[in-house]
Amino acid sequence: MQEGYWNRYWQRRLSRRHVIAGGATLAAGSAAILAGCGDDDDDGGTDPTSAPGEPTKAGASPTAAAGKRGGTLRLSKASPDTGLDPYIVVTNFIHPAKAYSQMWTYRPSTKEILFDLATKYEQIDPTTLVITLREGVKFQAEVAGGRALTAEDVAYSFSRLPAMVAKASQVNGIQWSWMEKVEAVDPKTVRIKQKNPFASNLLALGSSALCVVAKEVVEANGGDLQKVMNAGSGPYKMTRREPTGTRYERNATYYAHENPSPTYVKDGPYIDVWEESIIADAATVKAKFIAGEIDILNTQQVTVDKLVADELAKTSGVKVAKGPANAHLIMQFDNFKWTDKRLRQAVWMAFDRDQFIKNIYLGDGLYGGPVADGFAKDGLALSQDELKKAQKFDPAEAKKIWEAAGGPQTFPSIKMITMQAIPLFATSTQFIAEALRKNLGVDVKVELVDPATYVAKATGGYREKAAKEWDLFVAWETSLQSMPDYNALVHYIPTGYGAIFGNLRPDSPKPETAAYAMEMLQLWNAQAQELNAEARKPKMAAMQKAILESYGPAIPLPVTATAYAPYRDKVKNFPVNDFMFGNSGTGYYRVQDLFLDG
Amino acid sequence: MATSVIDEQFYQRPAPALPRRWARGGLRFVRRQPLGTFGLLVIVLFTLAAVFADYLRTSDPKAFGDDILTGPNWTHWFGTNRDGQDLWSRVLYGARPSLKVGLATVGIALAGGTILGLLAGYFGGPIDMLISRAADIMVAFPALLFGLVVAAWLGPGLRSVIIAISIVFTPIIMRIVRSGVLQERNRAYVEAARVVGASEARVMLRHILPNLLPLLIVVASTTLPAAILAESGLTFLGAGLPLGEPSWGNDLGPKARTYFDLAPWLAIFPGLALSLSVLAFNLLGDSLRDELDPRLRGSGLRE
Repeated sequence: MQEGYWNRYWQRRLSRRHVIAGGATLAAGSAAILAGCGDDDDDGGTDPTSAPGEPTKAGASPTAAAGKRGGTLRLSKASPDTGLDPYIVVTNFIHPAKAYSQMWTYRPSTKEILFDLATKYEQIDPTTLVITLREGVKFQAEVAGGRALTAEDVAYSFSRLPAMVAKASQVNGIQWSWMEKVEAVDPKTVRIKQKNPFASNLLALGSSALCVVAKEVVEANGGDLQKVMNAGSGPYKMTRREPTGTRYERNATYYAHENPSPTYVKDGPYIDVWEESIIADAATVKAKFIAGEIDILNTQQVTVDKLVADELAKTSGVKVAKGPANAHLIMQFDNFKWTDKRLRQAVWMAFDRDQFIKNIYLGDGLYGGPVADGFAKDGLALSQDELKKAQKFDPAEAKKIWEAAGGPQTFPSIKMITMQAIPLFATSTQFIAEALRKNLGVDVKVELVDPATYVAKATGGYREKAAKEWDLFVAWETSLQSMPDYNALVHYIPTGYGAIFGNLRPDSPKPETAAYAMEMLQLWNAQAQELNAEARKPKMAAMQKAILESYGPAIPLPVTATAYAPYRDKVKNFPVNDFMFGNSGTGYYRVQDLFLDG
Repeated sequence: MATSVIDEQFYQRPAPALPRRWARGGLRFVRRQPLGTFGLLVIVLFTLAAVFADYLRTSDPKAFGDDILTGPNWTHWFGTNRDGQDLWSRVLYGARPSLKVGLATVGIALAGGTILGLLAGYFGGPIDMLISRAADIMVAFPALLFGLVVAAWLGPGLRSVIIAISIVFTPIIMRIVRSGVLQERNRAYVEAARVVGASEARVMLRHILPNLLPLLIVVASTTLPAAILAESGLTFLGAGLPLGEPSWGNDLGPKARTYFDLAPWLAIFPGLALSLSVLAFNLLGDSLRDELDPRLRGSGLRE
């Protein structure tokens, strides 16, 4: 159980008032202590009826309390957002978390559901999920006239998802294809009829991408919200979008509501403004953070390894949260071209993962798998031993296989695309390129592009069912890292990025690719539809082994063992135990819960 | 007509052999231009380093190594970077693209700028108008921005960098050459060549161009360091040489900069190499100008 947040908060207030207010301390302190001795955060958050390993529901609303309000939280990002539609947006998943509301978010460290729009859910049967919405929720004042948000809006919003695929949506099918029909039973009740049972349905609904938009705003803007700053009911509204950055201001309406989340209370402390500056240069971002001009370091922009973490931890006013990473990093094949298993096998065997870990993670790394290592303790991911056995480095054998399979003829050169905005992508690409040049004797061309081009090239060719502009592509997926069958697996599944990035699709004009896609889909469905936790484990293992044995459609690259999150200590309620689960509904943090002190 | 004794002796004296003349000229240059000599020595050293990098290196400059961010020591004289690559080896190899880009760019821009400058300055009129206005338009663009656009359009790589920088420098050199031609074309020797029936091309190439050589040498020596800096700038911004390629610009790039405070040698050695090479070319250029520019003859500025 976590230490009570309000306990800590009030204790801090007491101390400061003591210094400042002198004689007023007694009265203020007494009030604070009384409030602090109240309900502990986590008491209400745990559902004792939940089985271990399953999400629990948050329960009672914590005591309303006055707290410090206001201030500006300063962040950085590498480039302007490619778009703003929460169902399409690909470079800023904190935007939907701020500007929109979703059913709930999910806190992996405690396996809790933290409600947002919903107040309860009920799984009536394996294929029927009923959600009750909160009373009194309204769209932002400038959105749809600030009218009430109803179950109809939820049904409309979710009905947009399939259409977004044609717009290269990153909200891929894994998140929504399990929903057959979403209907409004009454203004406050949503019923989701599922196509099939889905073990991760509650976690999928925790994504900030599955948020609720106002129909009239969508229709008034030609069917998408790519250029629309606000169309939801979220805690912040975007007020400025310029090439230099974006600004969000507090939506006062949102903060007036009673919320049953254990991490949020009515009239609690909040942030007034979020300023996100566009700073392309990672070194400048780091310098600004050290100088106190940025409050939370963007660890996608600035690679924070142990050396940097230690350096930052010594900086005055800086805290560095640390925890076991749940990351994945994959190298996607363009399955349109890599149909010969032997060619894929040669690439799998041609680079030294131990050296990769030593160089890129300073030795603090793990072998990557089709499912992130964080799920191994639940029996859902393969062990390190199993992964090491399946990912041996054998350059001599790799070259022999490469030549026997006609690699030099099929790939006179290999083209990779990467970007420097996420340094890990660039360094990993460089490492792999060097290894392939050296061990396979193949010419590897690396093209360095900006983030928008990177995304465009990743998804390009999807609609046309055509080959990609690249042959190999290093990437990760930071959303829903809390879902075992989303996480890294999203890159292997035709309903996920397997199709969008990797051309792994059942309707591929290449018969080998189509057959492989079907096999992946069947394996994924088998585990996803298994609601018995114990029975699911062997099915998850079977899928991962199939990927490894077939030298599958994407190579899991080694991952860091430890994640670091540097932030200024004035940022309160930073999710020190959950920051490593990127966008488990919140974009690293539940935006409505953060506040500033100092 | 009587000829003075002195003149007779002068003309009767045999001309010294070419190597001897060079040696004398060299010695005179060393005596009169110590800074230029220093520049030349540094350039020779960098050239030798670039040419013999395969023999002077201590490890493969592109291979990821085990010693990460280690300071200068007996194994890694300049320390290592975040990828465990030996900085000494990278600085050696980094001289290659710098010199290649510098020399190729100067070659292309000098050739293009000279031809265009000759045409514009010699013929004048509509040809001059056309070439000069085109050059004005190109010079009006910020050079780095223009280089970025061209390099981004052609894709990263040495070829793109050379083309991008050459395009930037050609109009600048054209303007300088044009002004030289404008001065030369009214001289008596040009008139004399025309009178004896020399073609326009012959007048330009055989008579005016040789008289511009000192100017061109000076322009080349001052353009070269600018080209080296431009290459490093483009690479630093990610539009130059491919990722990971040893280059002073790459080694001072965004990835290294994140670690500058932890490992200052990452900035010191590639930065020193870059600064020193640019300084050396500038010093040499200044000295050559002092020695060769006819406008400085008799001005008292040569000494």
